[in-house]
Amino acid sequence: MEAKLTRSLTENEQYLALTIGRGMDINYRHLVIPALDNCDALIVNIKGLVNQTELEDSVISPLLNKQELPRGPRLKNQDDRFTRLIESGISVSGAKQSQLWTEICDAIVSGDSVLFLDKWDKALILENKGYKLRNISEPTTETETRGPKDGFIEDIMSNMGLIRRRIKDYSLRFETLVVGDRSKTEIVLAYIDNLVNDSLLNEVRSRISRIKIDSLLSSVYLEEFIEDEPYSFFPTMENTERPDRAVAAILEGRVVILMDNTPFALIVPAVFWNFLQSPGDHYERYYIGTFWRWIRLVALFLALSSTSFYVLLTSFHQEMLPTALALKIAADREGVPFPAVMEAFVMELLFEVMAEAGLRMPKAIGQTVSIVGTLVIGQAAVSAGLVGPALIIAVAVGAISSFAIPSFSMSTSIRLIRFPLLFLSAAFGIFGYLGGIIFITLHLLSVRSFGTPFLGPVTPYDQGGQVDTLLRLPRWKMLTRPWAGRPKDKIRQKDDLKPRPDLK
Amino acid sequence: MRKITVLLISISMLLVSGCWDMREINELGLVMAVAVDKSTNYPNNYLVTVQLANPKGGGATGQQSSAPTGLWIAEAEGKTIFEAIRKIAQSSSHRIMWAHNNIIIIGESLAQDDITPVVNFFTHNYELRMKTLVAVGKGKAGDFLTATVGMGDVPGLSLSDLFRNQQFTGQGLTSTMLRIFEKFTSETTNPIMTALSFSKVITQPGVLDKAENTQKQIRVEGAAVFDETKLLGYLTPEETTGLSWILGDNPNTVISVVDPEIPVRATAIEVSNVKHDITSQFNEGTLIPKINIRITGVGKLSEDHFSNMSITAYKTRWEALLNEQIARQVEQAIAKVQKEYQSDVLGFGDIVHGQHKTEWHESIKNNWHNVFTEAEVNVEAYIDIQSSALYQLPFYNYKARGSAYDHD
Repeated sequence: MEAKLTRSLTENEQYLALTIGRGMDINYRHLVIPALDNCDALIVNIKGLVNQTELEDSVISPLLNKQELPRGPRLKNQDDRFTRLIESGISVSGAKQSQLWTEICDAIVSGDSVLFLDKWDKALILENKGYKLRNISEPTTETETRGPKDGFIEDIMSNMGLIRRRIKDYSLRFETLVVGDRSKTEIVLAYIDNLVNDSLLNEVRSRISRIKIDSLLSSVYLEEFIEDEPYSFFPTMENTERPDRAVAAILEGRVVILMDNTPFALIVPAVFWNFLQSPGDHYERYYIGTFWRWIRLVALFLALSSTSFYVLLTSFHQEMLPTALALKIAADREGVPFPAVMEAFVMELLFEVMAEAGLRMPKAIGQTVSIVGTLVIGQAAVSAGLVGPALIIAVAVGAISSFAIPSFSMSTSIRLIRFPLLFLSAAFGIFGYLGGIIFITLHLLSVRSFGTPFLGPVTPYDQGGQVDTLLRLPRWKMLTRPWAGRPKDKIRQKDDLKPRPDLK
Repeated sequence: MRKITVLLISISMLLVSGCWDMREINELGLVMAVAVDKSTNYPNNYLVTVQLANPKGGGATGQQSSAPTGLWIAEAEGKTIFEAIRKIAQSSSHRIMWAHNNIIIIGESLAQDDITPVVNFFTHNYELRMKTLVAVGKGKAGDFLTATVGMGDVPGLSLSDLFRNQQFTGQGLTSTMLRIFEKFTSETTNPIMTALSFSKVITQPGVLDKAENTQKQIRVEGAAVFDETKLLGYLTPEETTGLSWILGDNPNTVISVVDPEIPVRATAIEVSNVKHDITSQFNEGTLIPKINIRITGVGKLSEDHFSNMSITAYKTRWEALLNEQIARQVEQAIAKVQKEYQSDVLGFGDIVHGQHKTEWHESIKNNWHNVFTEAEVNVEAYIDIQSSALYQLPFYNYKARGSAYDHD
């Protein structure tokens, strides 16, 4: 039995004070309404969340200034008079009556105002949220040269608006789930009703609704609760700050999960190749898009194995180096006091330390860190003879390559896997390295993301999926929607759209 | 729990193995070249000389990365080659590594004895590559490791470049360990390898003959012909060119053709895309095969004094001269190995064996040596002179032109 309002304003106020307290940000505004024979009234809201001006103009002043109720059909009882007053005197767009305390309190804490009247066992919830929002600005983590420059912000309503502005389809659905006993975070599943795979949608719903937690503060909280392989190094969900990327995913029949208070949307399901793709591939001509994808694939390989290769070539398989290069590296390493693996591990570690320092430190001392980093660690270490210059190149190549991977979460995963691979290479040479690579491949083959094999459509192979995986074919070739989302409706566009001169 | 145990054991395997077999690259002495000689004191011993690279001037010492790589040359004697190598290791600060060895030079006196131990050792060692070049050094092989090769810093490296460049001089026998090994395993074919000798170059401007102004310089000079395992003798560079039409890997040879009607001016034709086809046939009643060699290729005019951009006027005439000259060159070279050395370095035995199995097994197999020396060899060349590689009209030799050719 849920608690309901009483007809006494004093009792209601006391109940409210017990439930949400009388903190300085909570506004209890007492009024006397002349139109209702000087009935006592109370408006409660949270100062930081409501639009005060709108409240004054549209609620408080009409109520205070209206001397009598407008004429109309005979009013049977007191409740009818209240309703008549509300309908005639309040000019807020969203208004809803409620009897339930939970509903009323939820409304207050999420930024609505609530009007109580003496001798009325209901309250009026007035939607006049008006908190300060960050402006929609360019995404900081995913920048594109030729794409749109707007990014998601912390407010879920604005984010939904950004999506809605791009898809004017009636079938676009925003399905709301609330998770978190204390944070009551709104989670919105965005999808196109007649495109999305039903089993995928049900899976997402059921995974989210089984979360029983007090609060969700970031989309990573959510990700960790619903991902397929909790122990895997690899992310199985895309995250993005870009509305265009989210919209593209929705149009592919995938589900985008928006969360209040985070500018990052999650996209499920995601396959491995999605992490090597970027909206920019579609914002340049297809040759360039394809070229970039392959560059990123090479970068992925280099980020993973540049130092491992250095160690295994210089410590085990010197015969695999061309003679001139072997002599050069041997000359460079002359007098280096550490074994190659130690050298490589320390430099890799220092790189990670520098990256971490650069990420968190105040901007003002950024210069100092980069100077110390490059000069002391790079040049001084080489000229002091502590490390060989070839290793510095290997570490730098790996580091730069890791930043060429568009997805930050995939990039950090790769940077992490580099270390076990380095030790395997140092212990067993190329056999260790290949063992590691085989293990990673087997693992990736076993992973699924919301039912989609993680390495698909490359393996398991799907011909139709190749148009937009490692290749980015011209738009008029992309007849089907990408494979990963398993959409209900596969056909994206009319066949034979290739432009040619004789077209009418 | 079980999973954790398995994980811990796997991790400890990494640590326990302790980087087994690890050796840092700067702790290795990379062998650039090796020479094997017969010991002068004990005829049954081997004298092994190795040339190790001593890389210098890395980043550690500063910015002198252009400093040349130093060399360390060591020699040791042993009853076996391996023993000698181990003895070198006694005085080497670096572990000797063979994988980068470029060339194996066999001393003349050892080659005259028997090269089997050398081939045996260097083909069975896992660190050595079968692509390593093999040559016979005229004189003491060890001397070649101290001489210079062209402008190269590391003689071992430059030697392999020198070999590679022989395809432009028409002496490009592919003299790798793999080829030698192939011929060793064949019943009838005998090894042939490149021969090295010294020439002198001027290091200081001055008179060539003055010893202090000259330096010993390695040059490729012909080829060494073997009878199964023993060195029989050498071929001159001209004869080597004759054989390289058949033995070389895609030779690219320049032939100077002299037109008998205009002997003053020769014409150079560069022949490439050379292919050969060897067939054997038995005439009725004889057991001696007839070997037919057909050489085809593409010729380009590289230096001439008569042509008029277009070669059509001379094509037939020069092709005939060229073909005749090539055929003569090949025939002379074959005659030398066939009659004088009596060694089947060209692999005719394998060809007869492959093409005439019955005859081979009936009568020839055990008597190949005699059959080979008596076999009739017929060489025909068909070079197609396709174009002139020149892009300007030659300065005509008017006198010659007037007498021999009629230009428009």
